[in-house]
Amino acid sequence: MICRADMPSDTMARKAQKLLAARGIRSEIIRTRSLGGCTFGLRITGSCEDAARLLRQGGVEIRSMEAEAGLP
Amino acid sequence: MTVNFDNAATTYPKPPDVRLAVQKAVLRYGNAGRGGHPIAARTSELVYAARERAAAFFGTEPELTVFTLNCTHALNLAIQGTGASGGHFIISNLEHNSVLRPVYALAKAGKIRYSIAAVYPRMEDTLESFSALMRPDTAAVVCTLASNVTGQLLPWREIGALCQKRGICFIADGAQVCGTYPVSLKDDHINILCTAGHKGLYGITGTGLLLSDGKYPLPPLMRGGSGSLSDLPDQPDSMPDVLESGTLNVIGAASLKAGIEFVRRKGISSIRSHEQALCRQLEGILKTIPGVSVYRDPEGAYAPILAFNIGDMPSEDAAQILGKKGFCLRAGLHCAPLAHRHIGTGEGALRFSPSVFSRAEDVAALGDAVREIARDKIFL
Repeated sequence: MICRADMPSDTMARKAQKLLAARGIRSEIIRTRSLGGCTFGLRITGSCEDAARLLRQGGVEIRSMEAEAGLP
Repeated sequence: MTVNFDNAATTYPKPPDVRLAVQKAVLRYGNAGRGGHPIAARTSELVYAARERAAAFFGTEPELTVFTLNCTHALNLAIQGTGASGGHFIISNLEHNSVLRPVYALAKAGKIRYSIAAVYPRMEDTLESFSALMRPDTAAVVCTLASNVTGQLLPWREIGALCQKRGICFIADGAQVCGTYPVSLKDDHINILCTAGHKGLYGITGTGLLLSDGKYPLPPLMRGGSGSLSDLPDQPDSMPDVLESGTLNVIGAASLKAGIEFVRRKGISSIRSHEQALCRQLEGILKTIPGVSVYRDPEGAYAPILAFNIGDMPSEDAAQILGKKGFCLRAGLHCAPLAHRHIGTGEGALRFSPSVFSRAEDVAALGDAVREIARDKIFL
């Protein structure tokens, strides 16, 4: 399962990546295009639900999050 | 021989690791927080690591850690940002112009009112002085943690606690203590800490930090490219991007990361002890020289900075003679006219400020040079 999450900045995406890595969840920083223009986000190997819970607990602002279409 | 005793302005020399970090940064890094290509990605990773180091060092979060050009830039962001909502400000009578001038400009424009709290040798008297000036409309207290002229320490944790109790934003100028004293936003009740990167943190010039606890959001002084939400004409409101328009000083961030790591390795208390010992050594020598005035009160507490004058010799003349003998000391007003008026040196003073690299034998030689100037009454 792959989840894509948009963050407001590169800084927040990197903070999110570290938080997830500390819980054994792998992710990759990606440049994404969302409403308002380009931003940074994560391509997370795992469920959006689990990731969202961990990131919100860690104080990470998530702009949007969705399961990557067409992937298991 | 040239010996730098002007480290309160900028530490020199820099640690070998800082010099290497700068060299490596020039070779390896590009722009941060913009594209997603490999050079951008590794640069962003470095900048985030620097942010993390600074945040952990001062007890806040990486996204609340803003890279600035210097401490003055950070203070202007904090003061002008907080002052945009108006209200009453309190500053101390030891402030550098980087606090006084933005506060004065806001007051002159009719946006805020301000009071100046007197600082006394005894911490409790200083605290009372701040407390007595607090009013229902006081929006912020902005003060240095130690005078850049005399090194006199202010009771910052107690001032912070007082501000917290009264719902007042506490903006701290840590330029003269960061790296020699532990400073924590959380433990010291500081809402916004502004500091230089190129002094006690041993980064290169062109570096500074604004660290926030997030309770008082600040508007930007500059707007522009942020690498995010580029379709929108509004500056993104998320930290740190809102306050970091334009290309970051990546080389500076690399140097600051290496500098903070150096300070951590050496130990803040060990650096402070070394510098304090050198100040005591010089103070001991100066007190034996007829006509030399040292600006320290036995009841006061001081960071490792020592201000003095040689008789009635203009401090700039004395600094010039010492410079010719190889000793680099700052003279004049040190951009802090309030502090000089407070200690009665309206024409200025000489300032001795050592670093972790300063040596006792050089301090002894400086003492000899001052003795010679005082004895021979050398005038330009």
